[in-house]
This record gives sequence, C-alpha cells and structure tokens, in this order.
Amino acid sequence: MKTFMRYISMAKVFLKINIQCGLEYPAYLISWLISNPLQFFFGIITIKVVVEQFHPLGGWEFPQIAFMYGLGILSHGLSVIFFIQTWYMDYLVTNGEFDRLLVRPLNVFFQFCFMDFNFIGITDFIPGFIIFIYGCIASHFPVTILNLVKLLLVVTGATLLRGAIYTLTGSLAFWTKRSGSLRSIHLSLFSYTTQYPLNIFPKLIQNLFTFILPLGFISYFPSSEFFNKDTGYKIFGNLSVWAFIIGVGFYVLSMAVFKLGLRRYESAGS
Amino acid sequence: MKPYLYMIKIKLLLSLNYRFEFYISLLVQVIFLFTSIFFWKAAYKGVGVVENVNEQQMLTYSVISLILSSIFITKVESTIQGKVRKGNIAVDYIKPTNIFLMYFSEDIGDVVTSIIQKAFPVFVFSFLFINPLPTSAVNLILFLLSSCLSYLILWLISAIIGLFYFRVIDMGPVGIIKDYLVRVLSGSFVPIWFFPKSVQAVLNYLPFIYTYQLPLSIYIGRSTINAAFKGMLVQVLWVLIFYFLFKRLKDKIEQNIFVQGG
Repeated sequence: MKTFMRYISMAKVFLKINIQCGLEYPAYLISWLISNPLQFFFGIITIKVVVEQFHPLGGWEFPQIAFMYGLGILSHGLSVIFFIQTWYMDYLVTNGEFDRLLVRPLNVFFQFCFMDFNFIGITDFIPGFIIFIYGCIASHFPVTILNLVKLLLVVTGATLLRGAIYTLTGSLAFWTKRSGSLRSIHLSLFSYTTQYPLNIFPKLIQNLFTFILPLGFISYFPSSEFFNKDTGYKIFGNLSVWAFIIGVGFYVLSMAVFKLGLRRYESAGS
Repeated sequence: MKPYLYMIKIKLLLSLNYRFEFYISLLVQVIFLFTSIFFWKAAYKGVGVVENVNEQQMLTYSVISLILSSIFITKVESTIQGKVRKGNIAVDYIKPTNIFLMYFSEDIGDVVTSIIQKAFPVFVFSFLFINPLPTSAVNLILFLLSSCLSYLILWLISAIIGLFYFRVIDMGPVGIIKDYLVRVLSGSFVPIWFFPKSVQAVLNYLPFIYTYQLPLSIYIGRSTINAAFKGMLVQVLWVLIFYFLFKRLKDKIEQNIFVQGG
C-alpha cells in the first residue's frame, strides 16, 4: 500500500512537470492547434463528398461514419497524449537513455509510461471530439447512462490497444535497434481501419483486423453495435466490453514484451 | 551541369543503402493502394458512371495518384530549414554552384529513387486489381509532360516557403499545413469534380488542381486533348508566376543572410 501511494505521488509529480513543459511554449501549442485538426476535418469532408455523390459507404450513412470517425480519433488523441514516448523508443535504446530510468529506485515501466506526457496530443483530441459530437447529433445517438458507460469502455480500451501496439513495435528496438520506420505502418493501419467501415474490405482483411490484430474494435465494431449494423460476425457478448477487454489484454502483453526486451538492453557505447 | 548530375547520383546511392526502410515504405504504399482501391470499389458499388468517370477509370486515377504522391518529393523546404538552423547554409554558399539548383538536383535524385523503389512496384502490384495502363499513347505523353510541370509547381511552392526560413528560423507547422492543403485541394484522393460546383469554381483559380488532378485526368482520358493543352498552358503560367516570386524573394533574401553558430 505504501509503495502504491508512493507511485501515485510520483505520477503526480511527473505529470505536473510534463504539463509545465508543454505549456512553456504556448505559440507552439497554438500552431499545432491550427494544423493538426485540419487533417481530420479534411478527411471527414472528403468522405462526406464521396457519400453524397455516391451512396452510403458499405451501408453506412454519413452521420454514422462521422460518429465512427470521431470515436476513432478520440482514442487516437488520448494515445498520442499518453504514449508518445513509445514513438521514439529506438532513439532511447541507441542513445542509452534507459540508463537513467534503470538506476532510479522505481519500476522502469512505470517511469517509462510517465516520462513524457504529450500535451500537444490535445490538438488531435479536440477535432475528434467535435466530429464525434456532430456524429452523435446527426445520427440521433441516444444518450443514456448505459451508452455513456459503453463509450467510456470503448475509448479506454481503444486507447490501451493503440498504446499497446505502439509499445510492442517500439520494444522491437531492443532487438533490432531500429523501429521508427514501423510507425508509418501502424499509423496508416490505424487510420484506415478506424475511418472507413471495415466491411468495404475483402473478408480476409476483415478477419485479420477482427481476430489477429483487432483494430476493428477501436471504432468499427462498437459503432456497428450502436447502430445495429450487420458486420457479418457473430461475436458473443457486448462489443464495447470486448473492446475494453482486448485493450487491457494487449496492454498487459505489451508490458510483458517490454520487460523481456529490457533484459536485452545493453546501453550505449561512449 | 556535372556537379548537379553527381548530386543526383549520390542521392540515389544513399537511399539504396537503407534496405529495411525500403521494405517498410513499400509495405506502406501497398496499404495505401489497398485502401484506396477498396474505398472506391465500395463507392462505385451498383453505380455506373459518375461525372463522366467509371469505376475502372477511378481506380486507375487513385493508383496513379498514389504513385505521383510517392514520387513528388520536395525536400527543399526542410533542407533549407535544417541548414539555416545549423548554419551549414554558409558552407553551401561557398561552393561554386547555384545552391538552389543543387537542392533541386538532390530532390530529383530522390524522385528517381522513388520511381524505381516505389512507383514501379506499386504499378506492377496494381495489376492484381485493375488495368492501370493509360487510354492511349498520346495521353501517356501528355500525362508525363503535365506531371513534370506539376512537379515544378510543387517544388517552387516548397522552395518559396523554404526561403522564409532564412528570416524566421522556425515557422512551426506551416509546411505541414501546406501539405494538407495540397493533398485535399489538388484532388489527389477525391477528385475535385465530386465537390460542389461553387468549390470547383474557386479552385479553378488556384494552383492546386493543376498539380494532381490535371495530369491524372489526362491519364484516365477524362480530359480531351484540347482541354489537356489548355490545362498545361495554365500550368506553365503557374510555373512562371511561382518562379518569378521565387526569384524576387531569393534576390531579396540573399542580400542579407544571417548565419547561425560559428
């Protein structure tokens, strides 16, 4: 219990320092606040143009796609806030930055989780929130306590799932020393599997993102349940709960891989 | 000419060094290809011709657009930014070459590499889904010419933004905003002809659609030969305008260059 309280108080200190760092350059934050939302607004506009010109994409109306799109960006924003340090793990490994974490009398994974709290991520979260609210209103999403709890489960699970995949690919750097370029792969995978209904892809790809790399649970499956869409999969139980379970499960897995990788860590030369 | 050709060669050899990066970028390209193909297939499901374009043409459009965006590399902006910040720009000015031509050759080197490493594999891979060949030989030649002009427009815009770094050192994400604008307004993902008429009318007077949409619609045979020539004339006009701007700005900035560090 005492250790637990100590970790909590340490986490508070880490967070405080990081937020102060983030607010030190307000102009920098504002400039990102202009540029980051642009990509999401442009993305949703292009989908709107196509849906209006053609027909509902894979049976999904535009407001429903907006809901799904927004839901996906919410967890993206949160994962960018909390897990940005996993994006440059190869740098930490090759430059021996883990030395600093290893000599402190604290759990390394804990320190790693709290070493960088990326305030800029809020500029991803805000446009996601706006698009999501628009989707809720336009698709007449029933706001009930139950649905809010489900959404909370989905967003938490999806954030953890994203964080877990970042941590897994980042941890590869312990073995390969380089993992930065893998980021472009999972970023594009994340955006394509959460922005469009998965059922526009062939069955093989749908299976891949349902059973092997369950990115469909970030926004597609939960949204399909909210709108009673037929995804062609009969999954036992509530999909929002599944999203949460999968997120936590993957996160625990990524923690284990991180610990395994840390044993291979051999610091830097000079 | 010789030093510039040498620069192109060096860039080519450099990028061949990173084999892992190559496989990764190829995989990313394939993911892009997959997504855009299935996106448009879903959109065209049960629909024949929209705005004079059928499914086959639209799929070709998206594949070639992907190829163009992978080879239209304009690193000049970040090159200038990096060199101004570190002060290396002074070293480049000592060299007996035109530094902007040198940056241009560096970018051309990257373009050539991308044609070999990205464009060619993606083109071959796309045969799995469609027949990505152009409608006729004339269309192909016009497409190639128009693409070169497109590249010049994009490069000059990038270079003009790069010149500002001489004065302000850092501009935050201005370059990123420019990239988003180009990506959406040029019709590289969704052609502008699907947008509302009023938006199209405005965009006709901006350079963006002349970077991607024009060469691509020539390629798929949506533009008539006449319209293609007309469009290319506008492209030449934009190249001249941007070149003039670039030249004026460059002369002004070169009068007084501040070099960082020692």
